Amino acid sequence: MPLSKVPPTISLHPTDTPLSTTPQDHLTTSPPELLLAILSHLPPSTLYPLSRTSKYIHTFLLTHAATICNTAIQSTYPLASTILHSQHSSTGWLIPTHPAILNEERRLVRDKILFSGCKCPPCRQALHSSSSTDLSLSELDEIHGLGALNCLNGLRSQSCKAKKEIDSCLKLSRSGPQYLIFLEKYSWEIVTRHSMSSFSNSNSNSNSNETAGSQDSTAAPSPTSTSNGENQGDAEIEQDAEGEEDRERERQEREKEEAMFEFMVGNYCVRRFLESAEKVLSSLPSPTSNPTPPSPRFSPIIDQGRKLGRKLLRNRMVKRQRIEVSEVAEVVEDRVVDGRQSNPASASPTPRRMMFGEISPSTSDPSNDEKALLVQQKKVVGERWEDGLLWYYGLQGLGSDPEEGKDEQGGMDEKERSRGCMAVFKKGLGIISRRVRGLFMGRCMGLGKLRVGGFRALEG
Amino acid sequence: MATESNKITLVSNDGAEVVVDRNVAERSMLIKNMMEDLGEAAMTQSVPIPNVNESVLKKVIEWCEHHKNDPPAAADDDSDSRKKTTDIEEWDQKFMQVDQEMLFEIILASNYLDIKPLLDVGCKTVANMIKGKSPEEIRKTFNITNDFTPEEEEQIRRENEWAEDR
Repeated sequence: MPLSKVPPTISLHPTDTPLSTTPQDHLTTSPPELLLAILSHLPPSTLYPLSRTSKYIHTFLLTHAATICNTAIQSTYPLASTILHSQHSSTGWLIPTHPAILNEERRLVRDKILFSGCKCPPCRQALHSSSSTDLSLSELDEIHGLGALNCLNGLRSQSCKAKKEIDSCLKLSRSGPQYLIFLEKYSWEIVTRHSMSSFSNSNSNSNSNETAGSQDSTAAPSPTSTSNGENQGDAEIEQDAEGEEDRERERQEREKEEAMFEFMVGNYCVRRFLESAEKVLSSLPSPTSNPTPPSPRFSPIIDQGRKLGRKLLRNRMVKRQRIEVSEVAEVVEDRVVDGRQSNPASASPTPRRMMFGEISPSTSDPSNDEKALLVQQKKVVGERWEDGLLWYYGLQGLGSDPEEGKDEQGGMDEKERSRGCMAVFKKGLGIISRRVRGLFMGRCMGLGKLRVGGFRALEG
Repeated sequence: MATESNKITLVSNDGAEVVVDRNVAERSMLIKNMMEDLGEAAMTQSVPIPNVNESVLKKVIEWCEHHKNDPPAAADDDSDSRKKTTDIEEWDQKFMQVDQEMLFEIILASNYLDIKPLLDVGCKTVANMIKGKSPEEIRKTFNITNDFTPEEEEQIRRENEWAEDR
């Protein structure tokens, strides 16, 4: 007697595929979850040619871009993703929240403003806030959900020289596949730098400290409770003081290491990646001011795609070999430097006293094998990391991207923008009113004193 | 019907009965869970596999028999295996040298039967068929209909030509 039939979880031949294809087309007629499973085994650069095979696949890739990238990040770079405190954004993208990345992005924006020489109030405010404290701008972003910045961007529109640069600024903390590509290029470096830093096992250290501390505290009462334990007590107080000093020293060391890690990652990974990625994307024609809605957008997008494609492909074809080899070499050389810097116990006579970015002349480093391996892999695979961005940004341009717009400046609707503007306006009003009130109260107090003085004088 | 206690009978959607060892069939998490739920009763009854036809079922069972002694994959192994998309065992590569229809049927069946390692092998095989190919080559490989408008198509063609000329 047969068992009751198991309800099917998927249908073998789904009928809900949006476009009619030939019966032999097994790829696009696969259920979406299987297509996603297949895509999860593809490097991001392969998605670019795939996205140009048919409209269905192109739309599918854009629709599921966040899922594809998140899956790739979580399955391929789980450690680096954890180190960089990856979190899901409001639009479902996995983005890094590590200060190393956020601060560097902020510095890049600041550099752009400084480079443009813009003196408009929003730029001055951004410069002031980012120079006074690094976190103020991020806090502003978080509190207002980028509202204030978007408001500033709105205000910038008339006369700001840095507007274009800031608008086209690529960030890892924004929606898009750039974080995945970044990890693809630099995850090894991040993990290595992190593991070489002593704070990587700070948790275990702190735990051991805590346990040691608790042991001390539990052990402390017993001798002090004894009558002849004064000397012992003094000794323990001294020990405690020494322990405190040690802990304080350790804490300072750890902070220093963390700052070093942030600098290294920010300067050598984030800045380098974002600058080169922006170089690629800056060849984009400036996006149309009004992004077209998804359905009729394709023909203008093709125009953009054509221009973009020409420029990008020119760059790629001309610099193909040079970029691949030089970048891999750069990365590996950094690793060599890092290896020497972060490992004071190595045979280097000046352990980690080298200048930042100084390339070690040493060639007898064990990472040479990896260098060769990386170069070889790059050559064999023949992949271009730019393609990992192009499948997403390629046919529609950075500025007019729907997801990007949704998450960032473009996606902020008028209401939200006006709310942000109003918040800034109200804040300004509050400051002014406080000052006025202060002045007024000051005068009143002065008058009061006079009166009191007068009365006193009269009384006197 | 199974004749021995450690064998179970699977019935494909075209009515064919396939008798397999229990440990082979339990490579499928769907069947394994079913066995655990039903206990001994499942051993004496045939198990219908409504989404899989005989040829695909036999192919899947062939894979399960070859991999019946594989250790269960840990979470870390999974991430490792995903990293190397080109790494497919030699036997699996030969096993997957089938026509595309069968390949996708195996993927669908492994998804339905919840045989993750087989699903991974199938997806990797398809991924390897996509990697390193131009859009036109991918279209040709999978018979994908080019549904771009003539204008868009012309644009893509010119881009490709331009790229080749450089």
